[in-house]
Amino acid sequence: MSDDRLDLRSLGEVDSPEVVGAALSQFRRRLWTRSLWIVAALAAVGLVWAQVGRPDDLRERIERAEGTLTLTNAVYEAGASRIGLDRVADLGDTVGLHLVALPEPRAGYGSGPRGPEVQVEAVIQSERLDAFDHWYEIQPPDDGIVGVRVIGLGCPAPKGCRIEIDLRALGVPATTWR
Amino acid sequence: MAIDLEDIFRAHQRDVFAYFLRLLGNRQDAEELAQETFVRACSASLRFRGDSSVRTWLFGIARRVFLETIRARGVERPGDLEDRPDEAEGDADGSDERIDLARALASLGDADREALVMVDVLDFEPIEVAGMLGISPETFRVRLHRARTRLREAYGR
Repeated sequence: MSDDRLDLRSLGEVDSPEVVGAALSQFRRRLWTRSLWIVAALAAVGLVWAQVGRPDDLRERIERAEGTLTLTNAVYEAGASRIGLDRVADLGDTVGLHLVALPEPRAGYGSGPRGPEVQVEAVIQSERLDAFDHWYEIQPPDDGIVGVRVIGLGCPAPKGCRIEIDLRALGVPATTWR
Repeated sequence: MAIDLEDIFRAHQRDVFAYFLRLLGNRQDAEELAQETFVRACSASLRFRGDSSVRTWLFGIARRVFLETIRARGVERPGDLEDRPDEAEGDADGSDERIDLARALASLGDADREALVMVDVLDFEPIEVAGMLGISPETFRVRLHRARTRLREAYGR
């Protein structure tokens, strides 16, 4: 190959504008903008988490409510069941209750997975963890008395057995249940 | 670190600008793409392992910027330099011969022009350019030879 080439080196001798300084500034701006986007994205994820991931199920709300009161002596008999009021929580405009319903051991129902049906008056929403743990959100009772109907295990439907839980008598502060 | 990088970039600023100017024939586009090359080089500098020279590395980035820009917006090829006041300004101190050379170069196809700019204008070794282009050195030498022949023909007209 003959290589009788033209000398083009003079074409590289150009009067270059200042681009490095501008490039560094632009790089810093891009870095800054990207950082802002990352911060914004993290904030958005945090917001979504706060909205979606926050404890919005009833059990969590009752357990985490400020001033949730744990009771140890509030046990009521209903047919062959024993209904225990475990917790009372102030949920703001409403009241949260955690009831534990167990078959009476002497009634011959054993401790199998079958518990009674428990209906609480003025209920807004309820949640059952299993056959025995019941969580309720109720309207605040005016007089501190919560009516509960128990069906099954010695309390035949449809009437069942009715018990009354007197929050005032149990020493639950009115600020919690009003 | 930042100062070093700036110094290194400044040492190659003219060559990078010349690369784009000779490929595009337009000072404004050349300036824009040269700037973009250095912006990307800032990001890529952390990953630079020194496997090649800084110059080769920088021109690898410049070439990607050039190809992406052409694909994205179809930057026009250099045409008749007489219609390009920008070019005339850039070669204000140039002789008629230099302007004729630039015009002859601009009349070539993209591949020919790139081969000539890299080797005969910017003084890269053919083997380095072959590596950047991802072709064998032999293939590139043939391409370069043909490009030189075409340039001579264009210059002689």
